[in-house]
Amino acid sequence: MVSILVLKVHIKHAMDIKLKLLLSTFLSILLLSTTNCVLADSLYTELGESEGINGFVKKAVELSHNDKRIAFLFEDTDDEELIKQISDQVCFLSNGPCEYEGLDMVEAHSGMEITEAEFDIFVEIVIDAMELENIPHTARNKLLALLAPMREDIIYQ
Amino acid sequence: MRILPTFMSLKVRLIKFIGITFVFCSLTTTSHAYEIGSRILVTSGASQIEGSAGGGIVPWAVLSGYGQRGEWGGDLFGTFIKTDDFEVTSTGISLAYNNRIEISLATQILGIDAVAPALGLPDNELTQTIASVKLKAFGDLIYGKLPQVSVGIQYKKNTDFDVPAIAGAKSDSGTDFYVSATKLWLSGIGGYPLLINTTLRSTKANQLGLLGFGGDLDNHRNIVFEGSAGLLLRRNLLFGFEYRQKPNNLSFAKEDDWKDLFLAWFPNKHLSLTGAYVDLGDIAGKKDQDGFYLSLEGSY
Repeated sequence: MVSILVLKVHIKHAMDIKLKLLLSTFLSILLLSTTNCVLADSLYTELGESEGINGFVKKAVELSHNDKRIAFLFEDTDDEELIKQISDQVCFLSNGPCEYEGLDMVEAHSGMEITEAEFDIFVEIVIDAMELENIPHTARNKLLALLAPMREDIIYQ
Repeated sequence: MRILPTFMSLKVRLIKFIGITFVFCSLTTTSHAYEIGSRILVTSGASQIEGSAGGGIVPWAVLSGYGQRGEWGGDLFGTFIKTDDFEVTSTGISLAYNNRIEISLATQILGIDAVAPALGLPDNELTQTIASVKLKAFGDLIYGKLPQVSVGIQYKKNTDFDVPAIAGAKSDSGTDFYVSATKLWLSGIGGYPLLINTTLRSTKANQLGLLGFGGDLDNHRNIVFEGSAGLLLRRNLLFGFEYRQKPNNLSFAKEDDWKDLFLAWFPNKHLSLTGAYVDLGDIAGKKDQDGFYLSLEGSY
């Protein structure tokens, strides 16, 4: 889609050297980022395997308890169990050697009436936690892309 | 001798611009008495030049600020563009509610020192006020398969119509209607989230409306295409390209499409800073107007 847009612009102003330069800069950055994709390890490895995953999940739960906007959602949780369930799920989703044996997402959040705002706050806390635990930006986004589709099973249950 | 007044007025505009944005930003960054909206960093977008949330020159489907459902948001912004012969200053304010509706007000000043004396024009500045409303129709920027789609209206009114009338414009006010679709793919390209925006606009505006509306060549509405593509290089750094097609209504000078290559930095949810290289093509007979774009935005 980008390339079509870019191509259209390109043809229209074929004479414009400055624009060519501008576009090639943008395209080179696109290309550079795709090579990263080809050479990348599996997401499970990029996340630091079980130790890395456990580390940022633990941090995310800790940050959630300390955030007055969503702390109440974690009041009655068994932290150890929650950290294990989320870690297993992340491990499984990132193609690690784990099975997720916990509740499905609708069951797990039933009765909590989580709003879009609370969901976004938790997502941002997870990003903070991954950043604090030095998970690379690209690995963070690949994981978030796998978690994002769960939103509709989590909010307003 | 003309260099001096041009330089002076540029300096005055720059000082005004910096002053206004400083006040804006200190207001928004120091007020921690409330909780800022819950949406994720960068999803506010920047403020586009007409005051709607978007990129630099193109409105996006996102709403200003960080308000999620049930929350308020908005921003204050100041934007300054300098090309070889012109300067554009744009300042404005917006308010959004419920991640559904956004209203905004902006003023734009185009400095025309470079052409005014030679053409014997009565003013060396062209100004207009823009009042806009944007409504999210459906979809979501990040979640689900559909892009976020919004519809918007930008009503524009020239402060003084003398120069646009001399240029051949037919009206001192006009209304743009647009529809924008914006999507951010998280895994994007190799884990760098990719944002794509496409906007279709119905307009009669000449150079955003600064040179009036409609003209001797064409006094009908035109549907123009606008697009943006960006990569989130870091969680707070968006790098991208924008393109904005323009109508060609005036016979005295052709109007070119605009494009820019931008880097927007969001150090926190209260502040964003966008720098860009802009290529605005020919403006009022002056060839190849390229230069820089700088925008400061304070969100609340």
